[in-house]
Amino acid sequence: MITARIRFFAGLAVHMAATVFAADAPSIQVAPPLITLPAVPIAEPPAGVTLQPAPINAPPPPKSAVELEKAVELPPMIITESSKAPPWLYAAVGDTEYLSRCSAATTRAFVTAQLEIRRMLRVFIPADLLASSSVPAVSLLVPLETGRAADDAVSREMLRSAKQSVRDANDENSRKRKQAAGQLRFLPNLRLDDRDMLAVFSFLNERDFRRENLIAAPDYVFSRLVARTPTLPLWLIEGISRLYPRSSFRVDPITMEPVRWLSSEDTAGLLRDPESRRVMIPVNELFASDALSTPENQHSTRVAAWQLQAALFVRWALDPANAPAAESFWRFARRISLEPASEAIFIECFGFGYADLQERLSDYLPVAVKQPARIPPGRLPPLPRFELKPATPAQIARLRGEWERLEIPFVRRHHPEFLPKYIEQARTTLRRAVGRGDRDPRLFAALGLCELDAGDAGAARSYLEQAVTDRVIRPRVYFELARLRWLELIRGVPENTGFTVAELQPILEPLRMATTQSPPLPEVFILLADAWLRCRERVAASDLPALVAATVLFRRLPSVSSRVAMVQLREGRRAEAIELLGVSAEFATDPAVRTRYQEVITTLKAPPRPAR
Amino acid sequence: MVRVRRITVVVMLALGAAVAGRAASSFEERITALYRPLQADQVALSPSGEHIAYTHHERGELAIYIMAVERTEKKFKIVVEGDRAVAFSKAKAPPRLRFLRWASPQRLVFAPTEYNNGVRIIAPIYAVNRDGTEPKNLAEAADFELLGGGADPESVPTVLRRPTTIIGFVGGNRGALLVEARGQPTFPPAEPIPTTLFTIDVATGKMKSLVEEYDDGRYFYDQKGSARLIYTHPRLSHTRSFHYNTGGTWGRWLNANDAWGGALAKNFVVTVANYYGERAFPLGFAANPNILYYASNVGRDTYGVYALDLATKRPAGLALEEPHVDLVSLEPGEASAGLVFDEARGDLAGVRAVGLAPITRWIDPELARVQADVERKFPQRIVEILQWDDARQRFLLRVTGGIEPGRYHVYQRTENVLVEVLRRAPWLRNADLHAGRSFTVATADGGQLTGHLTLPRKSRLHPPPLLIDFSDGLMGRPLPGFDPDAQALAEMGFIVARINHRGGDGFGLKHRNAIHAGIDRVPIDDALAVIDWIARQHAIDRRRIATFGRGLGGYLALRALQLEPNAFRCAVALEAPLDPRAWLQPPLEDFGPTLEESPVDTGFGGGRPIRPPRPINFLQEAQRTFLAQGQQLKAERSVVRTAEQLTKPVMLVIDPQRDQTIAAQNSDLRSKLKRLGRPAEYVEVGSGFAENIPGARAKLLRQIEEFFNLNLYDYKVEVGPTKVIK
Repeated sequence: MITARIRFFAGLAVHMAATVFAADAPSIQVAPPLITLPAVPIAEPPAGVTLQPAPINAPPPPKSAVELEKAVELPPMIITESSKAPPWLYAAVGDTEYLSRCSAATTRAFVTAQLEIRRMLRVFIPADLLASSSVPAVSLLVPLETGRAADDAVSREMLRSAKQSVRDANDENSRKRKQAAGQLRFLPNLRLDDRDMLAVFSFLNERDFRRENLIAAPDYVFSRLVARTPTLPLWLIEGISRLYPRSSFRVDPITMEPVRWLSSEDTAGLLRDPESRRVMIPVNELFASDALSTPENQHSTRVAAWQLQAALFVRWALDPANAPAAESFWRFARRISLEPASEAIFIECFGFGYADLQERLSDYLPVAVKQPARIPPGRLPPLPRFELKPATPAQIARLRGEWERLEIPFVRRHHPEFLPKYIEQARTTLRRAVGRGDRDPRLFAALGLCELDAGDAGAARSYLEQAVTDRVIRPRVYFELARLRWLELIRGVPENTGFTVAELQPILEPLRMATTQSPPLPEVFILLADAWLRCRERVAASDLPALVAATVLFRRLPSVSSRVAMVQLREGRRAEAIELLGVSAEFATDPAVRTRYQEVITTLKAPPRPAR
Repeated sequence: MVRVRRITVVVMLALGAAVAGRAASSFEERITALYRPLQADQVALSPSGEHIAYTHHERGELAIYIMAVERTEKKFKIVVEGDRAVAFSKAKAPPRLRFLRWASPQRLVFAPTEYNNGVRIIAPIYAVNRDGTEPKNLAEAADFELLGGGADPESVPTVLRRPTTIIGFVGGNRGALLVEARGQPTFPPAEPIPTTLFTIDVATGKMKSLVEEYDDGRYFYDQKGSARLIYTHPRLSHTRSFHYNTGGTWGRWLNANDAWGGALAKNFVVTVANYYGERAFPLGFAANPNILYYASNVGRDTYGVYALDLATKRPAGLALEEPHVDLVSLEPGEASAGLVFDEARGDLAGVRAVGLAPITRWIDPELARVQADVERKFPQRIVEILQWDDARQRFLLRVTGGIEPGRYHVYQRTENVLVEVLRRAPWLRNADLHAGRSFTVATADGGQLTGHLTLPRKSRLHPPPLLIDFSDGLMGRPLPGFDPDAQALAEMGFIVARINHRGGDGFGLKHRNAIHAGIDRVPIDDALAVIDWIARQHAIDRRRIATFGRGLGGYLALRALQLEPNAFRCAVALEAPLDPRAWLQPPLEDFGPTLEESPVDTGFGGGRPIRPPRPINFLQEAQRTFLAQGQQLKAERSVVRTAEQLTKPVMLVIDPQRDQTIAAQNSDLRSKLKRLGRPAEYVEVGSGFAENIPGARAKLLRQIEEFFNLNLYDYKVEVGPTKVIK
């Protein structure tokens, strides 16, 4: 039996990072997962070049608004089946598959709320600036009611503690006459991300569930911005993420609350006197890739000013009082996800320069601390229709299995003592379906990934092979299969030994499939480049353009562009490699990486040394 | 049915009137805001970098505010003085400070400008702690007065008043303030009134006389307060010279040439003939009083700044030069303000100059680095490092340029952040102003023309019309980036071009001397060259180009219509003298009434009293001498005498109270044009305009806008074919 360790903050209930949570409750977030990949060997660079690709891991984004609060460490829920439990309901709508044990009415309300949230979110942030995936998300709903949700010790403990915290909070509020008892809402839920999809588990209290109280969690918005390709600049992610929690989306119009500046004294000063002093950083430094990465840029005042100014810029742009700045803003965001930010691009988009923006932001600040800004959503598109049906055993097994296998890495990271139980649970759920004769490639994909997450690559291989054969839509599956084949190929082979195209074909084929699916994964292109760098033959005509195209998607990941540049060099495309490295240097957040790139560019530009 | 239609029309008219009324009000408000006096005329950063003191004029009084830099606190306000009465006017003049500096991290010293109240000079100097404690009136004008008597020992002593100049703190000692009480010669010769330099203890107010000198002129002191140089100001001479004090107890004043010898010292002479030509003059002294900084353009096009070691009579290893910009202004004494010293160290840190934009040539390498850093932070802006704390961690910056009247920031180097502490015009929002940029145009003769463009946010026509603003005239100083007139004219839909045309100061000899080819032709040729350049950069309606100017700028605006009627469509001239010959050939000096005319002067004894001639207006004589070098007097350049050449609409604006000659000339031109059947728009403005009262300005600009509406935007007017101007 799992014993839960639950902590409550300030008498309020637990909230884990999730796609949804109650709008009127404070939230506690889990930091979004960073990109973590297995180490991939790197080929020898061409003669005369000593380029060392940057680490594969993406540079960590700065501490975001959603990361600042402490995370709750809690093992996720295990769902046990029982004959008394209500039947599962299933719906597929938008980019999500829902599996619910709540009543049909509650489930319908929940799904409708999700659709409304996404629709409103797109008024705030254009859809193309949020990450999307061709792999549907999984959303599991379980009622949080006595006797019904108590599937395991964790949920029973959560329920008990949640009730206690409601009582405590209401008592506290009664004493302080702050808020009427009964207004607090708690919605424990957890989002787990995979490389190409995400899943959410939510408890709903059906008795007082009101769909209009749901909003998208800031962490969800943050994760969608971080995962977007082409990658977005840090200031934009930070600005939106910081602004989002201080905006209300479930009422018309969208309302951005007054800004709080660096300190309460600063905010009060600006409220009192619009000419009060204000700490700011120059706009060109706000947009710079190394805005916070060098030692002289890391003073806490500067970091705080950068964060707040990023949010102020977003707010200024979206405030209809500054129309048509919003259109210019999104145009600028799209451009600089592809190109290094420059004043020329800014002027093209806005019609004025950085210094003017600096002054406009400064002029706007006293207004922003004083007044909310309201964005009328305009005419909204109709919500998509959906059908709620009883879930089939295959659907139940696949969606539950997907969730349970995603729990494995989470539990390994946070509660390794419970890991065997979770592995066992996920395997049981998925294998039982296969045992029943279910041949859905998504099931095989989930099983393969489950075994990988459980650490059994051998068991994973056959399931992955089957899923790939059946052309499943799961880019990670293709990558994992290629990676396993690659490890097998290079095992025991000296690093300076090259391979033939024929030898590499089993690796290249799944990678090529992965490149055609969404979301694009940087590790796919990294492995593709590494494979070609170990190849004795020329790069296939179609793969080089694909690799070059990937550098545009992952401008802020030096590990992609550095490898692609090496492939270009190997192919004799020195000028293109220099150009690519030049652009990558401008995107590099780490000055050391930038310097290294510049050194390599200098080396490449130097005339070849005469042969002795 | 008919009734319904009639009602609709009435309602629409009413609505139209309401909208027009609102628009008018909005225009007036915007214009009025442009002409409000800017705040933070003076700003001072404390030696610790923790506080800023700045001036602010509000509700009829001048105040100093003290604010913390590092944190937001309530500002501390010191009321200095109410607005000053203006003789014969209802309007009041806002007072200004002549000095505002921190003596220590806690103690502030300030002084309003001097003024006369009846027979009294009002010239207080104050000190106060930043929290308002220990306020002290360090000195009053009376403290610098002397008692004098006539030749008759029986006569009652008279009070001799001396105007004062605050020199600054004693080098290396911010606790002591140097104040000069300026003497004057007497005529007929009697005992002269001496010039005295005092030190004042800023804590106690105790005064001590350091130096007393009797010659008439401007003294140059070293950093310890010793008078080392005098720039003589003989009343009736066209030559001024420098004399050097050899120092020591028995120090003597020697002519600079005798003191130092050599070719350089020979150039330390200022005459009305070389004032605008080649010469050299001293600027000030280093912490080592033997090191003299001086300016020179001898053998060069522009003024550079150099150093001379007076002990060895050899160059001291400093040579700051700019190819297209004079690093100093022309007037000795005033030019010394361009030297920037580090208060804590006493060393020369750099030299400020005014070219197309203010520049500082830093000698101090650390400040040069900081300058480069802060310039990167404000692209397309002019950043001046005004002051810095003793630890050099905080730098007070003034950021101007573009459309910005100016903002003050403190750059905190440790945190690498900027603290915006002040805006010069917080009532003007960047988003509401018209965009601006500076330009440099290469000319065919290898020179360059510079100026500023103001681009309207909205224009009634596409492409927009262009307005050439000749500004204030012929020999002006470089134009500032932000100009309320340009903003107001852009509000009317114009692209406004202001040109530092040839003949002006600040851009070297060649640029200035070019005016000799024609005081009207040269600026107008420059305008045509700039129009061609603008047309290549921006779409403009070349059939709708107007001219505008004040004073001699107004004269140029009208001459442009006469000389290039195909290029320009109409002109507005404000208080324009219309005949340069009248200005270049002044009436003979007035030596007073003749014997017959003034029996009072003759006295009972019949002897003629000695009547002193007025002192020479040196600067004016230098200008006349300079302009007379060319062909100015040989060609007919009077707008009035060539009125028949004025075939395009003009608007003449005059203030009859201000200059009767100009008023008469404009009236004459108006009459002539009327006789020619080309009536001019003629506007007489009241005193409010001359006194820069925002409401009066707004009213006039509304009239100017109506003139343009009629003569530039009237789409029925046939404007003729476009011609290429060569």
